[in-house]
Amino acid sequence: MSSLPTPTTSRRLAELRGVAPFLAPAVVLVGMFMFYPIGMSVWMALNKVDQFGHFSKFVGVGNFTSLFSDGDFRSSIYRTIIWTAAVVVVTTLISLFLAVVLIRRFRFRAVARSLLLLPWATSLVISTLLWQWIANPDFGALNHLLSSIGISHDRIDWLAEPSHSFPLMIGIAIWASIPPTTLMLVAGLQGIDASLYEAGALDGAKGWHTFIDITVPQLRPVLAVTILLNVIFVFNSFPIIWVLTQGGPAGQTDTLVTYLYKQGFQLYQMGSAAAVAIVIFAILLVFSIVHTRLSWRGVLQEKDERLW
Amino acid sequence: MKVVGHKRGRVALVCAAALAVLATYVSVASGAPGNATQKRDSSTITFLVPEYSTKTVPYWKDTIAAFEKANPGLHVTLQSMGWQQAHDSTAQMIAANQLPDLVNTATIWLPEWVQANAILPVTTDIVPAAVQSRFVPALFQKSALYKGKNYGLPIAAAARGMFYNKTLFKKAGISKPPATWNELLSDAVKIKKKTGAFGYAFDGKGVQAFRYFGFFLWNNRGQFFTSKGKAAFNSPEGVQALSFLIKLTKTGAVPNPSGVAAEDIEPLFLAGRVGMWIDGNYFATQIASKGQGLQYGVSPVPVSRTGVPSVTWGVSDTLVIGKNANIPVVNKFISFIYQPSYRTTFDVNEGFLPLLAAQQSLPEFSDPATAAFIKLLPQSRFDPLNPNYSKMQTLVTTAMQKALTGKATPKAALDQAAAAFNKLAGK
Repeated sequence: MSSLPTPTTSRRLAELRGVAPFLAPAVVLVGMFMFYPIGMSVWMALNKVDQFGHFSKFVGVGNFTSLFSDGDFRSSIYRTIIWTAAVVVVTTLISLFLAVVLIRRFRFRAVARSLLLLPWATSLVISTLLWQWIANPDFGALNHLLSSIGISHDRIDWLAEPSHSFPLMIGIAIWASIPPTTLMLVAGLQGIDASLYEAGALDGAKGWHTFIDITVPQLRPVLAVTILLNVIFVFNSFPIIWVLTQGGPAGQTDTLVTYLYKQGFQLYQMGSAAAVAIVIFAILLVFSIVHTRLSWRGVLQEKDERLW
Repeated sequence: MKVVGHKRGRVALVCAAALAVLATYVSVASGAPGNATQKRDSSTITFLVPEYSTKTVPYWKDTIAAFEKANPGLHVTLQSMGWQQAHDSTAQMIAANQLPDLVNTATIWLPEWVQANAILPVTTDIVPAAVQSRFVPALFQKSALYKGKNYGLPIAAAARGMFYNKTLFKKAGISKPPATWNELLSDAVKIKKKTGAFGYAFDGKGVQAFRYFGFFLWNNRGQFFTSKGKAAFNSPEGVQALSFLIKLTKTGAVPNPSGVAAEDIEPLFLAGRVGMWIDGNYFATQIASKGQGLQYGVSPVPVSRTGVPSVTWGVSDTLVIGKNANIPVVNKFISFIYQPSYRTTFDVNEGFLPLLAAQQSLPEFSDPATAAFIKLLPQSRFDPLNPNYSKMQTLVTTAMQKALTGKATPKAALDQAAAAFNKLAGK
């Protein structure tokens, strides 16, 4: 008798057999499209690999040590952090403001909402090409505007100097990130229970207090998600910088992603490019974990308490 | 019952999707490099072309239609891409062992395709002797020669020279185009002072940037590579060339090179806001269509000092034959497209110089600009064929930008690029 499996084990086995066919497709897909490529990238990062994908030599952490000894790589990390922080912080603040405005009823609200979504309707590469024309020093609208309102009559070469081009690109990234962020925040605002505001009003809360004490705490889970997603998207954003400056002049507007592209597709150091990808992956992973811990823990605990 | 049926349907759908994905994976995996598993139809070839202009794809569609009409039963599948993607797409196709039968490629990339064992040398099986003899001999023999073998047919030829705006020259009181660097500098400054337009412009940002250093390197007796394929661009000649570019930029007579690529300068020249600009003869086609009567001339690129031989940077693109090509059909197609009538349409459309001997006397090539470029051809030097050529381009462009933005001296920037190049190129 004792050699037979216990009833619970056999029941679990039977259960597993029952669900296995349902799990299998997901396991296969996740394995194929996530774990295999990640494993492959790690392996590439430890080898010298040419543009045709031939592994020529195992170099261990050699790719990483040569990356970190490159001043351009280190300044790309620094610049990527500035880029991401500036874009995400400003985008979140503006979007929050716009979301609060757009949730109110007013004339032409529908028009305002659809105008807001317009930048999102075009592919980012195309809208960046339009910005390239806007910033053109000789024929562009930007210099024309500045000179017609009397701010500056100089021929400002927006894309030549990093001190001009980098802030401009941050601005464009903010412009492009506002629509999806606002949309998510509007959805979050609509989910807030109206009775909270009624109760607040009864207690005499007004304008700013209502916003700080009711809206923001209630919106926290949505804000946390939008910030997380924006950080990941902006950190890895390629088209704006690539179209406008290609990270130049001399790598002075490179972020990690454009640096990676140059390593991989201009210098054909696929191993080194994979090492950059691993660094990006590690930074974003650490950020995601810390961010989730900080901003979600309270939320989840609250929910759990409420459930009990 | 209804609900159960619905659920079962969904399960079936999921299973079917998973199976489909698996099937794709298996078929991709079995197509791994080394064995050509793509099923080949003996009457079909694929042909990959980059777009020189909006006329390129319509031209090839018409030509292919004519070929298929003349050869019933044979088919040519046309694939196209932008020049910006051409290199990377081709490399990816080679990595996937899916290079088309015929590819219109940049000649400078030949060493890479040869090293990857992706293309075939030209033999009389592929290009009949009678077709070989149609070409201008120098173009056929010289432009695709790598390690003693001819790896393709010229498909586009051009030469580069200095375009100058005659109206601005007159306003600035300049009687003839500059022949030396000193004259170039003083003329550029004169134009800027007297007309407000830029005297000279060069690309310090785009894919062509390294050439705008190269024109000065070559016209100062410098070279990009040593005979062993190592970096030579940091020679004293190279340092002088880059220092001159910086001196020229500092006069303010040149738009900030870090901010302009060739595609930004061309409209400026067309608008009459640039006095001198080096470009290929195909730019003359643009002037004809968009320049609104712009008065211009073409002169050789200035040399560092009198006595240094003037060099023009010739351009050739090459038609290469994929290693798994369907030879009999490729042979027929090549014989067809290299007929003077088709070539002339192509050359006129895109603004290229004639490749075939029979074309040279045609009236299509007799206008002054084209004639000037045909005259420059004997001084032309082609892109050196080095397997690490595109790495050099990136490194030299970065060095130019470092020196131009004052992040390094010309010598330090070029030395650093040379060291990086020799490290990347050495196995």
